[in-house]
Amino acid sequence: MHKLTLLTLTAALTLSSAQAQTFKWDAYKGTTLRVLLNQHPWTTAMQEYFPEFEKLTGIKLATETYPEAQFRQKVLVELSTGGQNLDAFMLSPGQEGQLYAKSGWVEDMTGYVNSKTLTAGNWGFSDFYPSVVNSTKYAGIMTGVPIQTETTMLFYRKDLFQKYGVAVPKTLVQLEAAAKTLNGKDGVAGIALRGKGSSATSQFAPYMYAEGSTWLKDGQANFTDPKFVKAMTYYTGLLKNYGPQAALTMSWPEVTNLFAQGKVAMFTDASLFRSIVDDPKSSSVAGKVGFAAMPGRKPTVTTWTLSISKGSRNKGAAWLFTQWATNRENQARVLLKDVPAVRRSVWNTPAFKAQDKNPEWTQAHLTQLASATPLWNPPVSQVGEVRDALGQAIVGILQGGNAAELLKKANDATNTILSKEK
Amino acid sequence: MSLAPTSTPAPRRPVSGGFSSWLDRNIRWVFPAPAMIALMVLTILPLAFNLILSTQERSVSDALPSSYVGLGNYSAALKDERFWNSVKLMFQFTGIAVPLQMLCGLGLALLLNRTMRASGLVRAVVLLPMISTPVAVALIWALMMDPNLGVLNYFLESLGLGRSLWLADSRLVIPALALVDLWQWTPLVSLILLAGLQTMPDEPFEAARIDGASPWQVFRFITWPMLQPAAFAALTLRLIDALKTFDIIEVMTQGGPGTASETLNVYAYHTGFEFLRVGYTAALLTLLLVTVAVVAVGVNLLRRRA
Amino acid sequence: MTAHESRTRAIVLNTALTLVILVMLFPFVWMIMMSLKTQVENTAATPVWIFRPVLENYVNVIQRNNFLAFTKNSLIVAASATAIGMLLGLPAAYSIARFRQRGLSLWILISRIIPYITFLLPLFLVFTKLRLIGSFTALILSHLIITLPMIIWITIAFFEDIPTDLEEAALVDGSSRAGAFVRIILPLVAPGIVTAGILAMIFSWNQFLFSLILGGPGTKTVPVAVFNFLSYGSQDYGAIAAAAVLITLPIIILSLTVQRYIVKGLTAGGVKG
Repeated sequence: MHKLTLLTLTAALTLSSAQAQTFKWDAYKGTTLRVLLNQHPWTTAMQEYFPEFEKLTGIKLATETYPEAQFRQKVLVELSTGGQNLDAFMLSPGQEGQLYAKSGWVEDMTGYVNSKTLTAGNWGFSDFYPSVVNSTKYAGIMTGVPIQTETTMLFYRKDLFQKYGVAVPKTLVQLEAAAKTLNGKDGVAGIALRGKGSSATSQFAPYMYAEGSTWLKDGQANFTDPKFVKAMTYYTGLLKNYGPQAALTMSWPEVTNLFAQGKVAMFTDASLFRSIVDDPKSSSVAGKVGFAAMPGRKPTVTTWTLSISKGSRNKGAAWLFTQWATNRENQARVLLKDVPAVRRSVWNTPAFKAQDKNPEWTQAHLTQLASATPLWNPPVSQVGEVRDALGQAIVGILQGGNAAELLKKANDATNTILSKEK
Repeated sequence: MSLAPTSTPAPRRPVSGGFSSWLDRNIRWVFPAPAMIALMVLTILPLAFNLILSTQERSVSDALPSSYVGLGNYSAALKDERFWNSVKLMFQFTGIAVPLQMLCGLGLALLLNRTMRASGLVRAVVLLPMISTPVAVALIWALMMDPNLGVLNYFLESLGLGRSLWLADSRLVIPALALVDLWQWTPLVSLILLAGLQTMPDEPFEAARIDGASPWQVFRFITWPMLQPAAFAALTLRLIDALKTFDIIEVMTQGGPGTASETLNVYAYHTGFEFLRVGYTAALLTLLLVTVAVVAVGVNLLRRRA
Repeated sequence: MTAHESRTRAIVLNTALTLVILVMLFPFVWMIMMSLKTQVENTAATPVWIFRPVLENYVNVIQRNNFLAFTKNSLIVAASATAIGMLLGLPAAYSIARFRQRGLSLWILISRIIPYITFLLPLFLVFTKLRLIGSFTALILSHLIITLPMIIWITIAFFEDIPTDLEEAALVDGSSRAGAFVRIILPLVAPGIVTAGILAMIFSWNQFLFSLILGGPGTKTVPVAVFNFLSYGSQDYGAIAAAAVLITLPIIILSLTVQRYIVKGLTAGGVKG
């Protein structure tokens, strides 16, 4: 009996190692794969390695990269019209996961990541952070394979904090005090946050959770909850009192750009923006940037995945690309460019440890990762519309409108949208 | 319409060849027919389809059901604050841009008529704004209007005026966009008026000169009455096009901040291609079409009376 | 009248005109300057007026964005939509002018009033069903909505200018009407054809909305490519300016060489989408 087990085990091991060696990377040689990518630091980090994939597999990559808003619109339009011309694409499940899963537009990746035949033996799915994998699941479907994950954190100017004796804020009260102290010092604004309508909603989420509120309650919009109103008043108050001019036109490119130009003392946004603000090529304050856990301690986690269109005629090739892009080597590569990787193992590689001169960032990101909530968006199908409704309220409040009134309006609009969902 | 092969006069003389004589006899409907059929397929059919769509509650995703709602989308639009906001902004934009264009266009036309006799180079320069790609125009103006780094704020400051937020200020965004439209389309108005000026007979002006009329009197009683047809043509064109303005707004502000520059067609574009609310979008588009048509007809009625 | 104008008056008027022209030109000048500056110069707190021009932005735009391919797409669409527009439009315009078909000309006028965006949703859905989204066919057909009425409208004015005697003389000589149209009338309206052709090409080249939604990876036109490039560039000002220069350049050259025609066409037809 014992012998038999051993025999099977040996056989299995030999088999799988044989498979690893004979995994046919060139099975789809000659295929052209159309891939839609978001203009995102992950894309910037990976792009230069794409020729390696083409060489390995003989597959030709036809990639297109768009700025985020257009990217989302483009993917939505293509999938909704059948998605036959689209093979692989980037997806943030927290935004479109539910709609795409329920509409049947994306492949369920469960079958791929666990397959012994489709997947190279050394790929190692178990290496992915389970919380990150879970954040891709909607309506019982794994909507994509994670490529990077962001937690919201605080970015601050170490030099200014030191010069004016400001301690790193841990609570929202301390955050406001710090913004107040630093506002106007050395020509900087106290704090920058997203104020541009719908794009602001996701970065407002940690503030909402910190005040103890939620997006929905019993399937209905919860924007009139006093705690929600309080959080919104606080968030917009920070911007109005200590924020930069034109805050209501700012999404993350503007916020990070402003910080990189040394015109603002701190901002809270996704951890991945270290790659912009701490890089001497794009930032005049590189090296002076401090990182800390999200004040209020209720961070959100946003995952981006590579996903496969249900209508794709090249699913096999698309999976090869997804698999390759998320293997250990490539995850290690993106992490070296400060894109938060989703595989546990790569955070411990000597190369990263040697490069990570300011471990504040790694620490803040990884400690937050386990507890962060993936619900940075309201869990509905029509996320775009709901974000838009709430975004209108945010812009209105930033312009001096009444928070309670505007949120009530957004609340009603959202409930109308929800009533149309199945 | 003369599409039917009715009372075609017989050809002046017999022409050899069956087909070519048939063609000659029927030329007045054979010649326009292909173009008219093409226009029918490309414009009338889509419009009809649009009308049908507007009676449906429909989204492209199967996660959201579709159904016939009659005039439901229209009544929803009439109750939609954002719709009314977009209508208001559309008229605001037009109301600022077009009158200024008419005035500046008239001034420029008179200038061009008086000086240099509109030499080739000057005319080419005047042409540039209106034939430039709107996307490029919008990008450049957006850069110039940047609140932090834009050159327009530099000019304002040099003149001792304060900085402006331009597109980031929800009260200024429509005038700022109208300014771009003014820059882009004043030349068209002036060229149309210039064409009108240059076809005027010399005699009345001669007579006025002999009578010792002041320049203002000449303009008021001679030039302007003769210029009116051209002015009305320019006005009609500009009104219609200003109401339809899309490229510049979508590229420069996407309707923002918030909805402060979301005119009706920008709003319809967002509901259609961002939220994929097909039925509602179709209803908005129908309302837009009706509005533009009413304005076009209205201006023409006014012209008849004038 | 001019003779009596005083010298000062002429000077004042010419100065005014120069000022107006400077204002009109400024955005172009600024665009070209930005495209030749480095990022540091473009983000300087006060605008830099004197600098050493660099070509880096152009290299970036052309290399990173495959600009030549987009230019080719734009040209294919514009040329095809114009050529088909001519083929269908010229006989129609002739007939409308020759037989005073008011009803038809009214129809052309109406099709010019309709906002393009009204066609977009239905066309999008139909082309989706026909699997034409992203094809040149879809783009050319949609651009025909722009070029065809424009060509007809502009050339009507030219056909009307042709005296009927010429045509009648040809008929007397035994030519058929269609033959006279091809051999005698068309050569006479050559300036009109050039005018309409150039304007149709320009407005098709400039078209943004149809190409944005109905185009695809292999058919992306220049304006859409530039728009895609945009927020990338919320950082990269020089590259945005370079892209804007590249897209406007062909038009500027064209307008400088054939401006006489364009003026006539624009004022006769009055066009724009």
